[in-house]
Amino acid sequence: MSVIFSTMSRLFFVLMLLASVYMLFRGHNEPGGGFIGGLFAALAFALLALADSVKTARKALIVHPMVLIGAGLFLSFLSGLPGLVSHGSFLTHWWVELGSAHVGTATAFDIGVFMVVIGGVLSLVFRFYEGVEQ
Amino acid sequence: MSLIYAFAIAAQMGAGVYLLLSRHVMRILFAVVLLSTAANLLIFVAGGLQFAAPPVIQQGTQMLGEGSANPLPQALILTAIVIGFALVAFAAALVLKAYYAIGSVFTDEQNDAEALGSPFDAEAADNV
Amino acid sequence: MSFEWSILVALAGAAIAPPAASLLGRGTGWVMSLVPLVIFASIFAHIGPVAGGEVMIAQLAWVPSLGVDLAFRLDGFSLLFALLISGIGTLVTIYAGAYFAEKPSAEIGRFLSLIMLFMAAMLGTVLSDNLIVMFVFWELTSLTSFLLIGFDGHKEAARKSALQSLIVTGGGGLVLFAGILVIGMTMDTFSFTEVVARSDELVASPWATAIAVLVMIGAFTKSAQFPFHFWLPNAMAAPTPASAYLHSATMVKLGVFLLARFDGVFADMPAFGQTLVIFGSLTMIVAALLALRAESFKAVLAQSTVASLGILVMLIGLTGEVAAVATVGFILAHALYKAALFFCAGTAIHATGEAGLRKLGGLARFLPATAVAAVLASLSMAGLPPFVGFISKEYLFEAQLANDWNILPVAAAVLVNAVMVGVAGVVSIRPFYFKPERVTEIHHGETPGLLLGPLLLAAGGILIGLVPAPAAQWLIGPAASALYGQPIDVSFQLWHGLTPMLVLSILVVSIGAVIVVQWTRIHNLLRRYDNLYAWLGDRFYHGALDGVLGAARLSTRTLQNGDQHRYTTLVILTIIAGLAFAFLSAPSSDFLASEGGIRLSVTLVLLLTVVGAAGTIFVRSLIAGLVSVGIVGFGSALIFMLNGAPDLALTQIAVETLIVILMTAVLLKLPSRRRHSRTGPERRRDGLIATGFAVMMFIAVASIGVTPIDLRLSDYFGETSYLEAYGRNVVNVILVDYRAIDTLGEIAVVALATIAAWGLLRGALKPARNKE
Repeated sequence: MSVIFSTMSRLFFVLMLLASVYMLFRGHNEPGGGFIGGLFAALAFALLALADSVKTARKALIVHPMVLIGAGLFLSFLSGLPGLVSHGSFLTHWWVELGSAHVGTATAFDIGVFMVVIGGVLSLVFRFYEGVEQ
Repeated sequence: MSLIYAFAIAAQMGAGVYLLLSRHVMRILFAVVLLSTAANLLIFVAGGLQFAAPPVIQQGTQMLGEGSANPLPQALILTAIVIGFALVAFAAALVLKAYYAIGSVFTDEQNDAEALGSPFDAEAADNV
Repeated sequence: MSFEWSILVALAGAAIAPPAASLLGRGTGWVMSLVPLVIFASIFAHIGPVAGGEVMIAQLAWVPSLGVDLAFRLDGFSLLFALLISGIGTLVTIYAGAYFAEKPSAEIGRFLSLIMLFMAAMLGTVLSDNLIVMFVFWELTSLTSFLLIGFDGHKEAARKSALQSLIVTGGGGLVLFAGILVIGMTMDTFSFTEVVARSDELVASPWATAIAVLVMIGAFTKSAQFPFHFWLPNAMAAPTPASAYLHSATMVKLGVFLLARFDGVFADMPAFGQTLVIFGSLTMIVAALLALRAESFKAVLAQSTVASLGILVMLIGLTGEVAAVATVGFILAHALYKAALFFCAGTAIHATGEAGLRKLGGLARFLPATAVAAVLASLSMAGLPPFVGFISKEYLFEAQLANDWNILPVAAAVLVNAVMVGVAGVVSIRPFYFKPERVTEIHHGETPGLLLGPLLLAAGGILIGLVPAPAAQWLIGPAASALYGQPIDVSFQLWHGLTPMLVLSILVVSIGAVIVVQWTRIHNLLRRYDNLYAWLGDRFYHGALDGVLGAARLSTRTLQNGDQHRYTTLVILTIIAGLAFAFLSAPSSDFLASEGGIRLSVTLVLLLTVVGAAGTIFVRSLIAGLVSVGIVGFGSALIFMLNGAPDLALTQIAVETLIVILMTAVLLKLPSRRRHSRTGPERRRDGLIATGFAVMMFIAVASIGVTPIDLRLSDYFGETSYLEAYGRNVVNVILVDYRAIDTLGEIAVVALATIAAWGLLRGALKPARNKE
């Protein structure tokens, strides 16, 4: 039973992670975005932590959640600087047209949001469940 | 319809306030969750609910069509939900920490500071 | 050096005093006295032009948007004050160095630093032309005075007196500030020069009375006028050099300074002057009575200072040239003799360790030069020729007689001056020449530092008395002219001829002589009426203070009883009351008109959330409570879904799941619930409060439903989202583009909240103790 659950959870983990990244990037045009993507990614890691162990989930995340928080905040901040330089207005975004899609600093901003949400949620989930296991 | 919304929101808030008045820290935590959910719904209702299409601009058009829901309250509520989560998470950590430090989940037993007595009494004793 | 720099020089002196003291030790007083001496010289350099009627203005923009400029003004009156402040400041610095000779050098440094700071504040107050700037310096003098009175902070009396003076003078300062703000409101300027120039406008405005009363209260508190007279004698807890400086010669004269300045503004308002005469007379009588009864050396001097301040306030209330000359002359004479007497008192008390007048006697053997200075100063105080005190007293009586006031103030002035003669005799003759058996040895003798101040000031008193012309021409004349508003030709001279004033003077001296001789008898007689005297002291102050503390205690005990339940109840009740007030002030039943048709799916989900909400209240187990909370959360996600908000629905679902995950972890660690946290009656009452809250929320939300919405902003976002920000999901575009700075702030909040929670739980895995 637990073997099945554990195996299935890894499958779900991968699927949810993929879904969350998809949510993040389609967010500008369809429902989704950094907050939702981040929450679902965090849910994926939480599932792994509950089904297997916090240690596994931490290993899967590779970096410490605090690093994600800091990097995400920094990235969102950086994404506002080009606009500050060109228009004198912080967080006025730049855009490049790639075929039919627009790519711009707003995407970077949303990725920053995504990282902060993952890091914030997971730092707590890991912390809360580390005590339970022992 | 607005009366039904008002009834549901009022019921959620009433339950939230009743729990907030409890002395059990977990029930207070539940109250925070309930109240923030109800508050989000309130903002949502205040933004107007005439239209049920998502505020997404259709392919081939360049502006939001008639009949789309109001996007502004949605943007506000979206961040409010996440912030509300952060608040609840912090409160939960506080509950745990307080329990570890004091050994009780009842606020009337988390009274180490009050047990020291009123600062006025201490001052009065000094002045005698 | 331009005159306004003197404030900065004094501030610099405050900064260098502590290191200088640790470097120089005993010589600090002499070296540091160079700072006030430089200021004195720089102010003195302007004496020529100012005496010629010139008014110097120096201006620097500070807060131009509020009309606050660092504007300074040097005219005859502020020049006199600036010279007194820096001149006596020089002597005080030297005296303090000698007074603290056997104390640790850190103590000298701290004291001198405070004195310099006070001097900066005083100079700022008298030189400011902008009322706001003046107020800032005014309060700074209160603060430094607080620190100096409480200099011996280890003594409880010093702490209490310091607090009392701060509450009275600082509080009065706030009243003055209110007056200044009203002036600014009425006149649209804070510049004093302009206020004086347009004084008719001020007097004509409906706020004139309010301004006059507020300014008077500010001045009365600072200058210890009845009924605020009690703080000054208590302030004698300060070290004597500070008392000599602050509480005789300088700070307490600020109220007089202010009133004198505003006297010109309120010239057309006779009630202003009359009020001053009444309060000044009351103050001098009360202070004279208290002086006759006081025990300690310094207390007698302090009460006589209060009486002098009363005389000054009364003089300002009188009109005419002579009154202006009398005011200025008395300020000068009083500063000279009172500071000298405080110096002598300090030396006597310091040398013997005794503060009570009745325990001192025969000190002239040990402190001969001090005794001479004390006698000279007290002769000036008694108003005997040929001292400057005599001339100023003649002017006082002349001003009184020149005004068509009835006989009462004159009689009061005669009596009070007689008491002053008595006090002068008592503080100079008795401790130094009477009863030599009382003191047989002293701790230390006179040093140059202890002597320079009193001798110089006492000599000044006799010098100006004998040769009054230069002082009259360069100091008193210009100052009186500045007060009066037009040039006065001052004939300040010793001999006035056989005038009614001379008769009054002779009367004063005769009564005074009786008081000196009969001092002990009068003293003992007055001592019998302690109950009566209690009403003249600070009984009201203590009553008010106790009342405030009592109210604070009561409100703390009722509102903050240490029970979270009480606090939350109060907050909720306040919100209910606020909402009820808003509703009842404009009652309407419009909200009952339901908008839109009923959608079955939405109604069902809403009812589900109501069931979930009810469940949170009624279920006993916490796990079941968590499930109920979850029902409400997921229900609201469905509501979002059904109303065109897929983004919200997804977010809500994810967050609700995470909340359940986190709460489960918490519940696993907490003990299971065993008892009610509230008593039965409490639960019923809370149920009532919650119902009341729900009812108010129902009305509020239903009212929102019938209020039209302003959709301009939403429409703008909908129209420009794709064209300008290249995004079709308007919600997301608002988040990452239009309101991106908000979002940045919000993720920062999320980051900080989670970091804080994460930090809270570091290493805390086991209960430290258990109360259950």
